[in-house]
Amino acid sequence: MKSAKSCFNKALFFKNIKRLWPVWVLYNIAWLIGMPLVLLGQLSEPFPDFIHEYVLGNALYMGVIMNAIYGFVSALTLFSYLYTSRSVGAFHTLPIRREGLFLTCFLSGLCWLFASNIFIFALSAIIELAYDVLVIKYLLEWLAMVCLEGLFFYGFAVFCAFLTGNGFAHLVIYGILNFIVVIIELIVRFCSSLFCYGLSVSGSTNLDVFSPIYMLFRNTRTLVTSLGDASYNGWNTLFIYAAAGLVFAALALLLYRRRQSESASEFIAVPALRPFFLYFFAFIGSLVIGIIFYLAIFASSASNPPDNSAWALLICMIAGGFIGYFITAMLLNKSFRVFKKTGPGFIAYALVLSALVTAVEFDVFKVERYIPRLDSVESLRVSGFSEPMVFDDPEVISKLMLAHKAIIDNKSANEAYASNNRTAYYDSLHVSLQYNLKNGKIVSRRYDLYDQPGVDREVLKLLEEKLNTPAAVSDRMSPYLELNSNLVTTIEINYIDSKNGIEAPFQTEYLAGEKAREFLRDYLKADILEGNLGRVPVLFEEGSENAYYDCFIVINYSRKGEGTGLSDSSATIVPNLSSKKTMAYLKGLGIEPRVSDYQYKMGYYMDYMEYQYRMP
Amino acid sequence: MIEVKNLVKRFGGFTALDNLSFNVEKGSVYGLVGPNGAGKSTVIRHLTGIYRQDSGEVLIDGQSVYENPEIKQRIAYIPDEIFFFIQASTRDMMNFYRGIYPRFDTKLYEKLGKIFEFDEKRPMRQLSKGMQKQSAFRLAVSMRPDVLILDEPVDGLDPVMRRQVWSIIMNDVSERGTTVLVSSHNLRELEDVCDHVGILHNGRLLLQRSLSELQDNIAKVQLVLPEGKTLPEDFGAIHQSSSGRVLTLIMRGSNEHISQKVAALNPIFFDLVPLTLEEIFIYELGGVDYEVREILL
Repeated sequence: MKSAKSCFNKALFFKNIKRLWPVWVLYNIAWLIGMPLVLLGQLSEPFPDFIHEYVLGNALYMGVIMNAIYGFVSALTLFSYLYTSRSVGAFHTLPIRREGLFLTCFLSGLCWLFASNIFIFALSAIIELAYDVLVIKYLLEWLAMVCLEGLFFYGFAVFCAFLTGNGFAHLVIYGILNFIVVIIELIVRFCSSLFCYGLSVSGSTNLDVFSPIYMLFRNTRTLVTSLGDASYNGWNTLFIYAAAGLVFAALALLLYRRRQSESASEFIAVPALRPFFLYFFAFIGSLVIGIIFYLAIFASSASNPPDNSAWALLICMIAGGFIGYFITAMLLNKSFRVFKKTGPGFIAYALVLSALVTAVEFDVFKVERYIPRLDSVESLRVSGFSEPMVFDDPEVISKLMLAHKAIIDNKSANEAYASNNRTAYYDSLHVSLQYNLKNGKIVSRRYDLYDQPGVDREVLKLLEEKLNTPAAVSDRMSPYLELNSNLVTTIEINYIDSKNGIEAPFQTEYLAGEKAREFLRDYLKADILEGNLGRVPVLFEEGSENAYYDCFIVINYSRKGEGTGLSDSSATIVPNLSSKKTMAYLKGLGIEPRVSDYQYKMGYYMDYMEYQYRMP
Repeated sequence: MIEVKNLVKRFGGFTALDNLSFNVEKGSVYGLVGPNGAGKSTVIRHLTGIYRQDSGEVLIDGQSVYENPEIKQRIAYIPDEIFFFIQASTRDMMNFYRGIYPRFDTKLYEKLGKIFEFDEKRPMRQLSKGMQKQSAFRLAVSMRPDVLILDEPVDGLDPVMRRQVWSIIMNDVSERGTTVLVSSHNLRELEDVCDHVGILHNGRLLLQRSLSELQDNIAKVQLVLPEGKTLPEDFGAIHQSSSGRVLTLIMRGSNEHISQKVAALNPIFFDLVPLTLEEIFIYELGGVDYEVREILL
C-alpha cells in the first residue's frame, strides 16, 4: 500500500528554507538596492518625476535579470541532490515519494521568491507613503510582474535541472535554451545570403518567443502616457510565460518520475535525449564556431567573401560541428575516448550537412530562383535607391518581376565580381525586394548589385527603366495625385541656386493660396501623370533624365477631407531632370535649382537609414 | 522479510544484476559478499528504493520498496559514503530525520550519545570518516528500523568502536528482531555476526546458505601420504598445494564424507580444518575463475 499523504513534507520544506537562506538573502539585498533604496534616492530629489515609470521599468528590466538568475540558482541549490550518487541516494532513501520530494523542493523555492517580493513591495510602499506619492496600483503591478517573471524562470530552470545530471550541464543548458533561438536566428540571417543568393531573413520571427529574456526585453515596454503616469503593455506575454513556467514544472515532475537515480553526474539525465543533444550541439558548433572560423580565416570582412564562399563556409561549419559534436560526446560519455565509438555519427552528420549545403548552393529547393506568382502578390516594396517605394499595380509589379529575374540570372557575374574586388562592398547598391502576398506572407530578397559594366550595370539599367515607366511613377506617386488641391495651404520650395557654389546653402520660397493649388494641380500632378516627376535614379549618369535637382518641394495641406494616403500634414517631392512642367513653372518664379550630384549617395544613405531603423 | 525475485538491472549495455533472487529471514543478519563490481551496492540501492529495477521484484514484508514510503520509513540505510547537508551537524541531521521518520526515538538518540562520544553540534563535514560513521550509526539506530541495511559499515572505525557498533546492532537484532543486511569485504568480521551469507559474482548469486551449512560443506584437509604414493587425479579436490610431503587439499562435502575419502588413501597422517568465511569466499569464487585466488594464497 502506498502513501497518499506524501506530496508535501514539512521537515524537508523547513530544512530547505533554513539551509538555503544565503541565496534568498542575496536576492533580497539586490532588490533592496534596486527598489526601495533607489526609490528613496529618487524621492529625495526636489522633483521626483517618472517615479511610477521607474517602478514598472524596474519590474521589467531588473525583474527579468534578477528572476533569470534567481530561478537558476534556486533550482540548482534545491535540486542539486540529483547530481551526486551520494546525495541522490540519501534523498531517495527517505520515505517520501518522488512527487513529494519534487513539490516540497519546488514550493520551497517559490515561497521564498514570493515572500521576498512581498517584502520588497511592502518596503517600497512604506517609502512611497512616507513621501506621499503612493499609488498602490503601480507597486501591485510591480509585484505581479516580478512574481510572474519569477514563476517562469524558476519553472524553466527546474525543468532544465531534470534534463541534466550535473550542475555544469544545468547551467549550460539553461543558459543556451534562454538564448539559443535568437542566436540561431542571427546566424541564419548572416549565413543565408552566403548559401542562397538573395535570401534575406529580416524582421522578427515568431520564434523569438523561445528566447524568453530577449523576448521580454524586446517585445514588452513600459510606456509613459503623461507626466508621472505609466503603463505596461506586456501583460499577455507575461501571463503566457508564467503559464509556461508551470507547464515546465509539470514536465519536470514527469521527467522526475521516469528519472533513474543512476543518472546523477551524467551530462544529460534523460538517456533518450542524449542523441538529440549530441547532434543539437554539433549543429550549434557548426553555426557559432563555424562562423567564427569563417570570419577569421576566409573573410577580411564578412562583406567580401571569397568566390566559393558557400564551400568555404561549409568547411568551417564542418570544423565547428566537429568541435561541438565531440565535446558533447565527451561530456555525454564522460571520457576523452569517444572518437572510435561516436565517429561514424559525426561522419553521418557531416555528410548530411554537406548534402544540405550543396542542395542549397545549387538551389535544389528553388529558393534562389523563386519569384512569387503575380496573382498572389498584394504589393511589392522596393528599397535601396531612395526612400522605400511600394507598388500595387499588377502591371508595374510584373515588370519589376522581370527585373528581379534578370538579377537572379546575373548571379554568376555578380558573385565573381564580389570575390575578385576587395572594395566591392563599398561600391555596391543594396537592393531589397519585399513581396507582400495576398495570404499575408512576406517574401524578402536582398541583393548587393554593382554598377560596373559586365557585372550588374545592365541589370540596374533594366531596374531603373522598370521603376520609372509612367505607370510605375504614377502608381508610386498616387497619394500625391489623390491629394485634393483645395486642401493645400502652402508649398515650400527649398533649393540650391544653380548659380551658387558647392557649399551654397538652401534657399526657401513660399507659395500660398491659389498659387500653391495651381502649382500642385497644373504642374506637379501633370508631371507625375506623365511619369516625369517622382522618378528614381538608380545609376548615376550625368545628364540622366532621372537625376534629381537639389530641390525639395514641401506641400503643406490641411487634414480636412482625408483619404489621400499621405500620412502627415505635409509631403515632399524632389523634381527630376525630366520634370519639365514643374521646372518651367519654377523658372517663371526665378528659381533655377542646380542638378544634384548626390542622388546616388542619397539613395544609399536612405537605404542605410532604413536598414538601421529595421534592425532589431 | 526481504525477498528479491529475478532482479535485473542494466546500466546502458552492462548487466549489473542478472536475474538475481534471494531471501533474508526476519531477525537474521545476512552478509552479502562478493568481489568488486559484483553488484552488491546495486542490490542495496534497490533494497533502499534508490534504484528502480528493470525487471523482477524487490519486496519487504511482501510489499514493493520502490516509491513506498510506508516500507521505507521502516528501513535505515548506512551507505559507504555518508550524506549530510553541507552546514549540518549531527544534531541538525537528527532534527531533520526526526521530522521524516515517525519512529525516530529521540531518547535512544540521547542515550547513544554516551557511547558515541563526539560533539554532536560540530558540522559533520569537520568530522573524520570514522566519526561520520559513528554519527550515521547513532542516527540510523535511533530510527528504530525493522530493516537495517549496511554498506561497508565499520570501514573507518577503530577496533573498539567496531565492537561497540556490532554490539549495538546485535542487541537490536535480539531485542527487536531487526533484520540486517550487511555488505562488506571484511569477511572475518562478517563471520562473527552473520547467520546467513550470499556470495554475489557478476550480478548473480553463486550461493546462499547459513554460515554453518557453508562451513559444513567445504573443508581443508592436511595429509601426508606413504612414500611413493600420489594423490589420484580424480580425487576431487577443488584446490591442492604442497609443502614438503604435506599436502593441503580443499574439498567439498561433509566432514564425514571427506574423512572417509581421505582415509581410503591410507595416509600416514591427516587432519580436517574448518574453513574461514574468507577462505570459503576465495575457493567458491575460484570455481568461477576469479583470478584473485592465487594472489591471496
